[in-house]
Amino acid sequence: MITLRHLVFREMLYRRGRLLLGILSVLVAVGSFVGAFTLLQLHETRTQTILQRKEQELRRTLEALNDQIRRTMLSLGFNVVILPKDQNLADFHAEDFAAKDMPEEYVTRLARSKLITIRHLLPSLQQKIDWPEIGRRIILIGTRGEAPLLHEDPKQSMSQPVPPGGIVLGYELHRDRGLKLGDQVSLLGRQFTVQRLHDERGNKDDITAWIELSVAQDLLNKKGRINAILALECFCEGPALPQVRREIAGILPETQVIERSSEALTRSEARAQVEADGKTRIEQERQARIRLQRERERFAAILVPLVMAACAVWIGLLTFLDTRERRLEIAILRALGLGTLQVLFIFLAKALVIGLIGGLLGVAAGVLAGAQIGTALEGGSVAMADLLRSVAAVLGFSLLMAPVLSIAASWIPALLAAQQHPADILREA
Amino acid sequence: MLKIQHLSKVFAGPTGKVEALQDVSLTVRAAEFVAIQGVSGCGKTTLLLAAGGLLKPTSGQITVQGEDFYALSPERRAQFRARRIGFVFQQFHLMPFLNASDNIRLANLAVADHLTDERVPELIKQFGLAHRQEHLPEALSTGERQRIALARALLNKPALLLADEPTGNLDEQNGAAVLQALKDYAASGGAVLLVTHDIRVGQYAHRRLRLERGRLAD
Ligand SMILES: Nc1ncnc2c1ncn2[C@@H]1O[C@H](COP(=O)(O)OP(=O)(O)OP(=O)(O)O)[C@@H](O)[C@H]1O
Ligand SMILES: [Mg+2]
Repeated sequence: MITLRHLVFREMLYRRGRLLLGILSVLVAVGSFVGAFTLLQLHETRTQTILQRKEQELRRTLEALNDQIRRTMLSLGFNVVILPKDQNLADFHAEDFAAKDMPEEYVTRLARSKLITIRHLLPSLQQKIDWPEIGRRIILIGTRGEAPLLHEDPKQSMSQPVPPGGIVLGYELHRDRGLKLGDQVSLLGRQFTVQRLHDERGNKDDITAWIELSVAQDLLNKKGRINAILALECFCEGPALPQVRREIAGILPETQVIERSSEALTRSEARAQVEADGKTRIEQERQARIRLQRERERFAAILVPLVMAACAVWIGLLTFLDTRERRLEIAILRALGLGTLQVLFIFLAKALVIGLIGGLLGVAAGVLAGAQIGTALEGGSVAMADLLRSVAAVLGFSLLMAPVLSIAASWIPALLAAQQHPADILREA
Repeated sequence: MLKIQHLSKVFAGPTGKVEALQDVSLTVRAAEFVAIQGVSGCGKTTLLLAAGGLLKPTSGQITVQGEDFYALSPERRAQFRARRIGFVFQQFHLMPFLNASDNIRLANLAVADHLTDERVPELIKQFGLAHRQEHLPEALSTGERQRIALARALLNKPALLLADEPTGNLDEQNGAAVLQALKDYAASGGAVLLVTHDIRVGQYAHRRLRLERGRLAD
């Protein structure tokens, strides 16, 4: 038995040229839409990768800087020095150590308080002395390593403490004597075991010897006294200093706080600068790419509807021509008892098929063309699977929209054809 | 079978009314073959289309098997036409994209009756189209095309067969075959109304009527 489907199918095969023309127009409409979208999507993806790469680069640079700063701080960098209040600062800077001293117990007090900005506390007793055994003037630093911050979890120690009986020597103090680790040296009549030997640093560290704090207090006859607390603040920058000062003054009124300009601080500033610059550059890049994207979006926003409208009109025209040419067929079918709805069906079914096939081909052509143009414009290569995943929704939408567009464009001519009076046509023929 | 009473059809032309049919009354009974003759433009096609339910008359009544089908809804009228009325035209009006047998089956499209389809081979044989049934109309002779059109019109065994100048494009032999087929259909119980200016129709039709400027005259 013959059915309407059969009729539609046979007719389409018979007038293949017309069918192909219809499919082609849907293909162009869907293809331009999908192509434009694919292009925009590619640009977007590429923007993401570029920005991500730049951000990663910046992060790596910053990490490297952080690392340097950390290492610098470990070796010599502390941000503030807490000194006895009556210490003359000019003398301190001239001598590199404080002549006045204060109780060691201050450290404990500071450690017990819940200071937020300070991370590490290092009490020390420093003095310039003559090392009679070798006949040199040196800086002797008694240090006991870090005072635990009692309100916090124990942190890793910032500097390795010197054990009692041990000594750490700066470069000038061991170079000429050919000392090795474990050697015995005598200082002010006491025996010390060489714990570490520093390489040349080109500063006063080179003429410094470090020993355990209590031993130093003993040696210098200053039991229970220290003359500096080195406080390492957190990584926050400049503006934190007044706060640290205020906090420390609140807890230890008998002290003064000075900033210790250190390599660490300089690097920290440099790092901040690098970070700010990097972020600005990334932001500029982002803005430029967004501008480009907007431009292309605007272009697509004009072009795509234009192309789609043109194709819709074209499909409508094709259907109109089709109905004109097939007036007689329609009239015969009406004479054979077909209703207007069935005639409508004949043309809309054809539009549906054109929409489906054209949509399918258009989607494929659009993605391929978009990817092709995209790589030509942006360079690089396209991961097809990723691209497809990112535009899947639009592809689905297009596959749905293509038949809708085609049917909508054919609707009016098909309706006109269905409502034609068969008598007029049959009499003319 | 077909009963036309006081049928008038007036068209609105650019220079005023065109009275294509004026007060035409006519009856075609079952098993009767009626021929209407007249010059070009006298209203033959208009009469046939009105009788076939495709052209609503300005006034008058038309019934087929007692059914006043202009009183039916368009859908019901279309169904009625599909089942009860067969058309044959001068230009055959076959679907160019369907082969011979599918063109015959086309009459069953609106009816969708499986039993009807079984009659197709029979009609193909009857009209001598067995060797042509797979061909598209464009590959067939005019005589073969008109026989396909005739088979299509007869597929549903319509109560009324309407033929508009079916022999106009045929040679003598093919024309005679068509007229014979119409006569045979009337003999089998169908009502046949033919409009033509073919003069041979006298040998086949039971009755001949003249249509002059929209009016029937004997
Ligand atoms: N839609 C119409 N509008 C105006 N005039 C019409 C219309 N249809 C038919 N006519 C007129 O009605 C008259 C009868 O036309 P019809 O087609 O029935 O003639 P006919 O007898 O079939 O002629 P032919 O033998 O040439 O086919 C003609 O004068 C024609 O011009
Ligand atoms: Mg005519």
